[in-house]
Amino acid sequence: MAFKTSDGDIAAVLATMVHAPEFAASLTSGSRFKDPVQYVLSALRLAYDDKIVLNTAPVQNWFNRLGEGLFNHETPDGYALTSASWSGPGQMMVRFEVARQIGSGSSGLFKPDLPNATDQPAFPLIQNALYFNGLRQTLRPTTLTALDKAISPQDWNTLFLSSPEFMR
Amino acid sequence: MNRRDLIKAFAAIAPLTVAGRVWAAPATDARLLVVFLRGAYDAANVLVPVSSDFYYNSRPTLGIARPDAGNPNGALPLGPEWGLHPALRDSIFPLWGKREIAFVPFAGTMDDLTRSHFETQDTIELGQSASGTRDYRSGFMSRLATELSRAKPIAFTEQLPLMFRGKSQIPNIGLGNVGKPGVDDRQAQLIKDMYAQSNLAASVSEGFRVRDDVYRSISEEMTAANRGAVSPRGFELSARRIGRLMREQFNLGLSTSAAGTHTSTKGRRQDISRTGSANLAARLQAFRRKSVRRVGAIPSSS
Repeated sequence: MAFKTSDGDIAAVLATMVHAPEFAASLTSGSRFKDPVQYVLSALRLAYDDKIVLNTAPVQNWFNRLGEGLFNHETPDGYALTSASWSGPGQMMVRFEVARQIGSGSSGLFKPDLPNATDQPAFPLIQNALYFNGLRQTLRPTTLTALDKAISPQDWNTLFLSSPEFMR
Repeated sequence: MNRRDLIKAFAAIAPLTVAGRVWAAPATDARLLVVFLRGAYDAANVLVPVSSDFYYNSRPTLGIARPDAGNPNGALPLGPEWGLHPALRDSIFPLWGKREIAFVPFAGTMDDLTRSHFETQDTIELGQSASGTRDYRSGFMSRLATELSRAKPIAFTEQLPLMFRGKSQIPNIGLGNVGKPGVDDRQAQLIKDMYAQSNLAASVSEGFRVRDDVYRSISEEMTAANRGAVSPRGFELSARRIGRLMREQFNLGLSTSAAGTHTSTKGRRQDISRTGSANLAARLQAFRRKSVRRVGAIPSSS
């Protein structure tokens, strides 16, 4: 509509889109299912805060396993933006496996890709200030119950990263 | 008549048609497995149009000679119009004699003149006209799964291929390296509990069910192998696994593999079609053993 009335004025079209209620709704945290890239990166940022990842190979491997590898899309339309495209049964299973890998240890993220490199000490710390001061309050009772049954920090991480709340 | 009506019509006259065995899921053990051989091979040199002068004029050196009992490099006779590449003598050709294979030339590529095997692949997988706009979120297998009432679809692939993308949620599982799942039973139960109230509950429990069924089925096979049975590898291995899973749990399956690569010389190509066809023949063998009745294979070509 704006496109037609403004004779294709890009500023006018963008202004209409940005002020649309649908756009505001899309920005609300938790409104959309994370795609694989968002999922992996959000998990890593939560787990390692400002610690700099020294080797991105494991990250790329996770993207590939989750089906959103860099420059890997087959058709010209690009990766899907809809939630349903990423939440199929097989895809959820891989996501839980990736959650377990991210949650259980440093997965080679801190071992530079150099000959004779040594793995820098690191551990995914998810029960951090952000968790206690904010995330915890957003969890549903079912999730809290499951987390209470964790038998180790690694197990707790796996469950938290697999929770429905963390998928959004 | 559009495609949907056609499928429904097939379903209605099921007892009378051969294809109907596939469409009429209730009360039969019909299975449909689509094996999509990805990659390029020279279609006209696999299924050779032996009655075409145009073919022989266009390929004076690369063309496969007309069937001739005295020439081992000539095409194998399929009928007056078509011949088969001689490299397929021991794999595919015997199936033709036993009437266990059929060839459908140009399937899904009637209006595709791109000569690009990437685009042709998309055209086949989408099952939509190459001219006009296409919905890249709607593959033909996905639409088929929606039409069939009792379809239990599965993609035996690491990721969901274009063919199975669409409205219905299709589980996928790669069979190349099925190991013991990292997320154990206790964790799986806790995860299912967390999702019980959410809109992903069905997807998550279906995912764990498929994962466990596949692993159970495959670990039985591995146990048997440890007792001294010959352990198959590669294509043969995944063919057996697919055969088993199609018999026990699914009725609409999809598997993909590479048929060949770009090559220019006749010799290489011959090797490639031999490998590809041995692969396909191994699959057919496995399915027959597992009493899966019908197998469709769709080679993509350029």
